[in-house]
Amino acid sequence: MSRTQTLITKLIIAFLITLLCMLWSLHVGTAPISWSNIFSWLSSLFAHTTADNNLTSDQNFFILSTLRGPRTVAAFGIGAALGATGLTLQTLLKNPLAEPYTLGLSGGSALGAIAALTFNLEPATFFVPLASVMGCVLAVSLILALTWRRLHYESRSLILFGVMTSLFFGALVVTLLAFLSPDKMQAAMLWLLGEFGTSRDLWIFKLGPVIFICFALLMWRAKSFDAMELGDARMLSLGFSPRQEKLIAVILCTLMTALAVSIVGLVGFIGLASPHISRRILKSSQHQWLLPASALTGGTLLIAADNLGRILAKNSEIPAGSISALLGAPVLIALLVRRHHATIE
Amino acid sequence: MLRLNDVSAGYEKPKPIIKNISLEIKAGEIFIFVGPNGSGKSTLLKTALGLLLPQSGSITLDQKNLHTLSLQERASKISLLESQISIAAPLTVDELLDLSSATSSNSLIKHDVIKALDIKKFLNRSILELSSGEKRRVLLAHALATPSEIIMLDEPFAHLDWRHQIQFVETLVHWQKNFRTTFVLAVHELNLAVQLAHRMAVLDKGNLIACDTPENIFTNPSVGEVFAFQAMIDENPIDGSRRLTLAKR
Amino acid sequence: MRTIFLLIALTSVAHASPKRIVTLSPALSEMIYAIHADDALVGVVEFSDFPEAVKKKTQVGAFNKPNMEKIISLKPDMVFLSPEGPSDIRVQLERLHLPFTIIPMDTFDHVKASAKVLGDYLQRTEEARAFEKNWDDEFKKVIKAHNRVKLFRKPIVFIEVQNEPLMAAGKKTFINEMIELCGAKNSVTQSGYPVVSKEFIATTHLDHILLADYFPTQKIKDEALAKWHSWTPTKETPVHLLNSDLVSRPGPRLLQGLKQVCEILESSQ
Repeated sequence: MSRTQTLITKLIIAFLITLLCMLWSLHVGTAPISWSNIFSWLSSLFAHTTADNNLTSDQNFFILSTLRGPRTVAAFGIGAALGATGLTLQTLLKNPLAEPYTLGLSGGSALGAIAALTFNLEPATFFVPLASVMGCVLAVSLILALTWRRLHYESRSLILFGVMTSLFFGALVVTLLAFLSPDKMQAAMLWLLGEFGTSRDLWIFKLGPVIFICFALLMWRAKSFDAMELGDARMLSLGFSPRQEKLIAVILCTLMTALAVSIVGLVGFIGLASPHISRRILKSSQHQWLLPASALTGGTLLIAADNLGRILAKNSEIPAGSISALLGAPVLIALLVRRHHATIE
Repeated sequence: MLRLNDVSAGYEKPKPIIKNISLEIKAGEIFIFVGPNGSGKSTLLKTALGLLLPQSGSITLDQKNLHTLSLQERASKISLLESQISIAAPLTVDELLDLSSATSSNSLIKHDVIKALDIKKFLNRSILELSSGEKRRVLLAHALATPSEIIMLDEPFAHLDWRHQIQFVETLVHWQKNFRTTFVLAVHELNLAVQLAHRMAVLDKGNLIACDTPENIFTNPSVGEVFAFQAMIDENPIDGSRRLTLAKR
Repeated sequence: MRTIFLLIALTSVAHASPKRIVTLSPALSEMIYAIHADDALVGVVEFSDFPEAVKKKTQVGAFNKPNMEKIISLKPDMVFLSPEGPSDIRVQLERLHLPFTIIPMDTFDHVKASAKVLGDYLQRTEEARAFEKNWDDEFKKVIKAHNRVKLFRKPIVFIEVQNEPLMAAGKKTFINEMIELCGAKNSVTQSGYPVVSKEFIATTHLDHILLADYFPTQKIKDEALAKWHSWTPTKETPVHLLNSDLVSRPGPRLLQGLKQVCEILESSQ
């Protein structure tokens, strides 16, 4: 099999695994819904037929359509966004530990979203993502203002300023929390842990297309991201503008992260682990393959984390963000131990 | 073909690293910059590429201002391989070569560079695993596979062993003859420079000291002052190539 | 003709299928029991623990994040919740076509009113009225008892709800209403549960210190008392232990809390 064929096959397998994970997600929940119910619900979606007039399956269809279905789609969409963003940031910063949150994107998004949630700006489905994006843009603008001239050269300074910015915004978030009433503070803290199962899951149907367009744009620039590995001089030599390409990458990452965060709150490690897993599996460093693979991996991981969170706690749920953090820590440690960074003199 | 008109450039305004450089590089020649460490060779190459904006002066390519060309046009005319490239991702050699737009559509060139740089056995290995000499050869192969009219190389011979240095000298000559590529190099190895160059330029502390054929350069007293040596160029008795002999001043 | 209609109407009422209700706050569960309507209760939220019988009811998840699937499968006719939870719960309930009623339980009046709302819905109007009457009676008793005592000035009280860090009950809390009804004054002027510094205690004259914390063990209780007794500024101040369940949980037991507080304040006159 040629290399391209191997890569395509691997992507297809990854896609199938993601589908299986989504099916698993449809099965998880306190209401006992059988596999036959799930499959007839799925076929009803495609065939636009109505449920057979069995009361139980009506209720099950209702739960699938209003609760589990949107939740599964949201988990996939957000995990995919985080995976793709993680990969792009790792390339941009030339740092295998970069996360969607390393540039301070999470802190800024969280500040904006919590402010919108607290002041109950209506309609929430418009204002919370908007505030999240604004907060994210604020954080990123801060970093870019500090490093603009340096964007022309190596990206090492970005990560430093990014970490500082994220600490700063994190402090702002905690300060904001202190002013909230106890119940609002509790809601905000749950959100900060990364939770599904709220009415925000539905937003994926509006924000999802935007995330998808961002992903498509990342794919369009895939070749320039490959060139980014070799530095600014090579990028120019290959016909790409280093500044422009980095700016496009930063803008797309900002948008994707902010939209993801506005739905689910802070979920860590998905963006960190997905690119590494994808590289291991694909054995390729080309972004045209790694981007879809990271997206699929991220989606699968987040769905799995959410499922575990629901399975491990009987009547309530452990937030998906907590599970991903708990599982991600060992992954992070393993990565640190094996870290590999070569400089050519 | 490539002309620098009174160019001063650097990383911070207003501290230029290279000052008031004016020179012209002709099509099809092999032009080599030499000079002590910190003389501004790398800065000059980056400025010629357009990576650094000149703080004063202008750069023209075929009479057109470098910075008015589109990115694609510029890339087709001029490219640069830096002396130090830090790579973080485990790119395989094969993938690295595929980055050059030429190789993905023209496997003939890819085949040529692989043969010329002797890297066939590394094709599926990650560049992070290779020794510094092997990495350099892979990057040189990548650079040669990129189809620009002017190919600039910063310290191409670093880390190469003797055999590969000679091999690369032959490759450059072969490339220049067959593809009419203009090569602009910055090197430390004066003896190699002398063998290879049609013309050379000497930089010191950002200033252009001399720009001439190798024979004239090394008999120029100002050059001798810069390097603190006396020099003589004659013919190597074994193969007739230019030979440089140095002695302390 | 009219008689037939009346008969039919009465029979429909009598044979109306019993309502199924879910409560999303422990206080509301307590109220259901207080009006003897617990046979309608099919789902309660976590940490509903009074009376004992409620622990046997099906749980529907946490106060902050009730399990919607569970609630749907219980097929409730009405979901009762308090305004304190995350607003998203209401959005979800509406989206899922689950009928719900919000019942505030912030003040004594709210608690009394909740009996009527619940009673009306569950057709336990008799029991609700009995609850209201008992409520009013007890209140009157307390006020009367308090009026017997003539005070030159209102005693100043500090109410602790947590020791580390030191947190007090301020205005707009139940316990504050209680001490005011019993004729005392709160040393703390902020609303809610502010964190206070020990300096504040040292520089304020206090007639009583009430401990309304939740103490998991006797040992911790004793330690808390000892702490106040051993600290110089408060060595002489009377320190009293309260049952936190009675004074901070909204619901029918507030009356008992009120009685306890007044007794304590009066007895030390």
